Amino acid sequence: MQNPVIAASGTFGFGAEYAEFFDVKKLGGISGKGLTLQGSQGNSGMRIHETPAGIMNSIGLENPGVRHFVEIESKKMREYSPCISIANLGGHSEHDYTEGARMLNDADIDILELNISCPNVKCGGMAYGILPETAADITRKVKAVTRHPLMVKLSPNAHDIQAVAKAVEDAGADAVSLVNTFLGLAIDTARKAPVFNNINAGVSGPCIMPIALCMVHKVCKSVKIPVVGLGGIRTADDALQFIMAGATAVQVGTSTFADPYAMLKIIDGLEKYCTEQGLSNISQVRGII
Amino acid sequence: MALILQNVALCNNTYKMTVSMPTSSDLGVSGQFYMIKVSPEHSCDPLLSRPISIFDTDESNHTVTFLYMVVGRGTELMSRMKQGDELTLTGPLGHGYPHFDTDVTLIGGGVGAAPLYLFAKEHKALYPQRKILMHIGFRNENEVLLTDDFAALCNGVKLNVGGYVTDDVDFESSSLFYTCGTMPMMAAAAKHASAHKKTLYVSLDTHMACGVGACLVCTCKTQDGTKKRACKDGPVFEASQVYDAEKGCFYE
Repeated sequence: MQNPVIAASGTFGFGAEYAEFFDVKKLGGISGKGLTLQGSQGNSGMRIHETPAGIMNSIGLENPGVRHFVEIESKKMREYSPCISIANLGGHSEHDYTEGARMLNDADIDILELNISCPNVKCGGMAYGILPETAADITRKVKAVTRHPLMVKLSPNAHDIQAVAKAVEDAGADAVSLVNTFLGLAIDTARKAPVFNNINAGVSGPCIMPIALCMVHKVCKSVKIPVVGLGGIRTADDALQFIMAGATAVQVGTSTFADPYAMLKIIDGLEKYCTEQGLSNISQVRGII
Repeated sequence: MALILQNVALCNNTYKMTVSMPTSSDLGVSGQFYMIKVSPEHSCDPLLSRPISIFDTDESNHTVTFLYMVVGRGTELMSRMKQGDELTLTGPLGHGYPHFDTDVTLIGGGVGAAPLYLFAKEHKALYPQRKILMHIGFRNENEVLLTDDFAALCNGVKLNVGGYVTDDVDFESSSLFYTCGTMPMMAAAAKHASAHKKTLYVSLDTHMACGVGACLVCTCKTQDGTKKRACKDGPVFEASQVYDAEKGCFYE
């Protein structure tokens, strides 16, 4: 990877929208919109709600399906090389995951990110990422069929995220990314009803960063595979904190909504930091905390 | 970055902001919008920018003007911005209203009528021989604005205060209609247009996070079952694409 900054899944489409604003080839990587085997129209009702310094979303994995990704989007993502291509795969059942992973063997991607942490789909999704046993089981089954390096995206809603990380490492994961969104609730008091049709929704943005950073720090202490850190990163200093906590790379999501150029600014900021500190590579400060 | 030249209250909670844009930039057309950062620099509360449609542009001075109503925290912060402040904004975004060489009827609801002003200006410049009829409605006397602006451009302006502006429209009078306002008002316009088999263009007013087509917060179902993003594929749509005439509401 040319730099450690990756666009987080669900916040960057498959790259084309932001390619109108800047040269996305400059990014370290793009994790595409979360895919499901058959595609999905996503959730009904309200899909966004703001919190202080953050947002809640309930998109529900609206996506064009794995086949469309293999045939169309993955090829377009390749045009952004050397920025690496990551396919993010969600699912409602074991079959969804293994069949999706099998189909993605036909896609020219660099990493398969297994999403066992989406809080916005009714069955499956996050349910696989709550307990170490189920997370390890689905990781093992996908690892058995995929030809791609496998990164498992973990949920901060896990009972014990360190145990889940260790379990998926033992099951064959090549890397982990964390955290997906936190389960949250917002109530419209005027309507006397939840804001979201699904009642709960995923919280992201700067407001979650200290908690995400704490989890990344803990997981980095307990696994040997690379850890990709995310959760509210907005500035180069935020990214640096995740790297110092032990992350090999970072993902930026919500902040891109607020500022389309956020990731470029982070990349520039990290380069400037290296120059100022006389570092040949940012990895020299990785895991120093 | 843009420089705020003016940010003044017009009436009640409605403000007019004019900003000076970088000279190289495309200013945009009617129906397009900008994502405006409402929190101070380095602040992330509120985090998201606000989609505000273009009211007017001035090519010679390279300015864009927005008309907005204070409805929540974001627009309240926007109303406090001062002349001389720098404004962070992204745009112009989305697809605007198409023009055709024909007479048109415009239906605006309150401050939501803002994009129709630029539309009327464009239409008059493109097809000076064509007639433009404007219908505009407000909830009460205190909110009435824009009537003189529209009168200067249109062949007729009909004002409705306190009622349903769509009730005043003769849907047999013209073949092409354009609307912008609240979703219920536009749904009523779509219902009438559909009943009279007339073409109507609506501009969907939805919540957005990114404004550029990536987040999928603003997607809506369309007639053929596919989903469209209001920000990127719209916000302007031909009404029959997004309005379910059988159910009498926009496709969710």
